[in-house]
Amino acid sequence: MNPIEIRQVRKSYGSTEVLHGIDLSVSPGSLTGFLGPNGAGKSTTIRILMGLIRSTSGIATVFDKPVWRMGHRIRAEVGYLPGEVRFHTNWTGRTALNFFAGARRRNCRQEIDRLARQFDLDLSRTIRKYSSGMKQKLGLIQAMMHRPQLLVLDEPTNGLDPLVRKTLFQELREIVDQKRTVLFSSHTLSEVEELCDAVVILRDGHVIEQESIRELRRRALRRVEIRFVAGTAPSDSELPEGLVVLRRDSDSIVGTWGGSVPDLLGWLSRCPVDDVIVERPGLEDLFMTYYTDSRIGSQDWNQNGPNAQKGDGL
Amino acid sequence: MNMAIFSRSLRDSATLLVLASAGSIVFVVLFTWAMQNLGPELLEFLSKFDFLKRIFEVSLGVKMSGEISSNIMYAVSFTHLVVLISGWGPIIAMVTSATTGEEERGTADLLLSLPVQRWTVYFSTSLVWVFSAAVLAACPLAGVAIGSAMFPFKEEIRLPAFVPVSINLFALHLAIGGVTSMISCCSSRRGQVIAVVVALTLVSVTMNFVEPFIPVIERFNFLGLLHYYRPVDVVRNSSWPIAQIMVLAGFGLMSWLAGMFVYCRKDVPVG
Repeated sequence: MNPIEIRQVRKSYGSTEVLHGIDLSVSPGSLTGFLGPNGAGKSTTIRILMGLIRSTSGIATVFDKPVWRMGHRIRAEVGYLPGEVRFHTNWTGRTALNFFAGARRRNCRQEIDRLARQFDLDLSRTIRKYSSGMKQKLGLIQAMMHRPQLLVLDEPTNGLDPLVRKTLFQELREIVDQKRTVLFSSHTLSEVEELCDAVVILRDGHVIEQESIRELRRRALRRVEIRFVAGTAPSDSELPEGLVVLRRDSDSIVGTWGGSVPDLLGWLSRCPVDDVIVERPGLEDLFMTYYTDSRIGSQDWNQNGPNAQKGDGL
Repeated sequence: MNMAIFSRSLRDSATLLVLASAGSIVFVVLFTWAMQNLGPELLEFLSKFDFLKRIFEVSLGVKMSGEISSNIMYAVSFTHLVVLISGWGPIIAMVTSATTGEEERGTADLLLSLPVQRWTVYFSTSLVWVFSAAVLAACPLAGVAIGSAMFPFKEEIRLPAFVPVSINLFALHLAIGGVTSMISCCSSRRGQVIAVVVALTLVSVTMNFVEPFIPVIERFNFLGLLHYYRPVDVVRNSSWPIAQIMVLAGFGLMSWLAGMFVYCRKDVPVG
């Protein structure tokens, strides 16, 4: 049983459809990054999962239960941090957390104290006097204090300094070590690459990729920098199909390579090359391709991935 | 019911409730004092000038025919706009704060992501304004009791005769709270909700205040809420306005249920 299953979920506001029949599943005990540019539909999807909004059609289940009809039961085992966390500002941090624990009918005192120590948050102060980072910490404690089986975090690192971010990542890794599941929405690619073991990429209301980080990295484009012997650089028409030029001058080319390394070496061996740098694939370039390439429909992405569009080598 | 949500709403509303209750009691006590000192002269003065008497009647929404006793004067205080507004104001504020207010502040996200059904949230917060409505409806009665003890009239004040008026006032508050709940659940802007409720209340009140004097309006008087709230008649006739109480409470309940239906199904937009 997957903690999250979404099948053909659509969401419309009036005549505007913001989710176009998305499918996604999150496996148990995974730390899944939920990526996409602003307005891609990440928060809408998360709000559907939390029962805050209702999908127009399709099925969304959490722990095999439909989120709209059985949301209250599901939410007992779910911790949620909204994209913009807000509290009653005249409360102290402690009062707010006690309220949430009381409404959940749980005794969370020990975990609240532990998390407050971990995140270095003074719970005796009024929330009005909290900085945005402190409010974010309070939101995180609120989401984690009842030790939920599923943690849904909508851009949790907003406003956090690098030290707290490190603490958060540690906590999340421990949660996953305990076979609990985390869905982590972000548009910061590096933190997803650093933290997550799977990723779902959303663009314009479509899931355009759902894969393990390892598999994505295997498919990611390699960054290449080739310096040719003076005056021998090939023209654009002489370049192999898998090489996408990002920058070039008279003697050098900087670009990405989407094919296999032997194919690249084979082509280079036939050229008067002075120097070559081939970097390990980073997800940044891959994600940027996903984010920005408007030529490709979501179905193509799902079937073939980005490399298929650029050619798979020579 | 969820105790934590109920306690939180009660705590949030406590200051407003205490201030409005105190204001309402103090007003009725002062009204008693004013009536004791100025009442007989005022009535004598008004009886000489029919035009002024009519203006006075319209401003209070009561027809002052026949003998005007101290008990009737007290009943008039129950229809005074200060008493009505000190009841309706806090109720409108509490209802809108618990529904659209939560959405507008962005706190609804966390509240509705708790393992609590939406109707439970709605019910738990509604209990607070219903309780407040009961307290606010009892305040004029408390004012009469305190006022009559502090500034005794020659004529004895029959406190039990004011109990049906208080219950009638409670039903009126329920109607206002119910209709505010319904409108509030259909919107996500608190200011908009308050504006609509105030406008509707104002139309209803104005209609009932001028109703005895403009025959055309009399035909539609059943549409106004104050048509079902006649303290002077209740005290004068020493009767229980059962039908009026049922109409107001029934209207309040139906509106409240309609609000719950919408609340349980509505999308919560990003605050």
